[in-house]
Amino acid sequence: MNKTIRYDQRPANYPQEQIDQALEGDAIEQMLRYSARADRDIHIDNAGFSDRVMEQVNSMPPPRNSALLAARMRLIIFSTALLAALALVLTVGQGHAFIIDAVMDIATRHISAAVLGLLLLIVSAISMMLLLINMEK
Amino acid sequence: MASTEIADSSLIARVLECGDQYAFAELVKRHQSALRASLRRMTGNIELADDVAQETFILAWKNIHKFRFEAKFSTWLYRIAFNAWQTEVRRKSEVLLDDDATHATIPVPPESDETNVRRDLEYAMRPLNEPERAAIQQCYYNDLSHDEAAYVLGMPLGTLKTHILRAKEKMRLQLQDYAEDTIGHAATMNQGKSGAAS
Repeated sequence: MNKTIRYDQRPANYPQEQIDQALEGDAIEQMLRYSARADRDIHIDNAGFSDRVMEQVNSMPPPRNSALLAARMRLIIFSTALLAALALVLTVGQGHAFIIDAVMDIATRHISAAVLGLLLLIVSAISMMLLLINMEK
Repeated sequence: MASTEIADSSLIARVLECGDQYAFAELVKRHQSALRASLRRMTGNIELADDVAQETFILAWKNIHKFRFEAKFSTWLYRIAFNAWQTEVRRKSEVLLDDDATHATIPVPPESDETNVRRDLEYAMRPLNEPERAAIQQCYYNDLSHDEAAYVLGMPLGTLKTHILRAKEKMRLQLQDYAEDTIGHAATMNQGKSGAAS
């Protein structure tokens, strides 16, 4: 019969203070510490164990670096969004006229769609640059 | 100790950056003894312990990108080893029971104070269930803090402390019975001898 043991089940509801007090110094505690200390001094000789492990490791692909993969994924998403935004802005805003409009609006302190679009482009470009710098690190 | 941990983290970084197998080999050499000793205590036989230890290092290689540097590398290895051992127990529970005699068991060292204490402890630990035994093993023999042991066993800290408390209560009772039995047995023997002499 295959009995599954639940390790996360708390066997009894002892008060926490009682547990902490009881875990401090007693005869069983001393026996366990003595035995464990003696046990830890034992060194198991390698005897080819590491070589056997590395033989298997060598036949396997290198481990994936998920942090790097995630950074690459973010970079792809940002650059796609940037290109899409740029294409949209240039198409709808009639190319260079959009940028001139935005600069003129900023100079006259007028918040327009062209200003917001230009800000979005700048923020996306800076985010991409920061991501690239982080990946280099 | 701290310098070892710093060195461990830089070795791990090298494995993560460029899949450096030499760095990983160094980690294996550094931790194999403690891990194999721990598994020998857990499994009770040498061959099986080494198989699980090998499996543990392979899993560590495959999953090293999941190591978050929040725990010590050795603690992380103990956690993988414990899970690998649990998987092994579930997979081969019936085979293991039948096959016990064919494995090389851990040799009994010569008689000494240390072996007497060990023998008494083994007797005391007989009534413990598996979670209690595992909690004692991780906290004392693997020298982990309660927090680390809870992480290795995948249980809340309060549960771990309760298991240890309960285990020690059971061990105390078991040793009391043992002492009473021994004294009672010796008294009966003495009575028998004096009766025969008179």
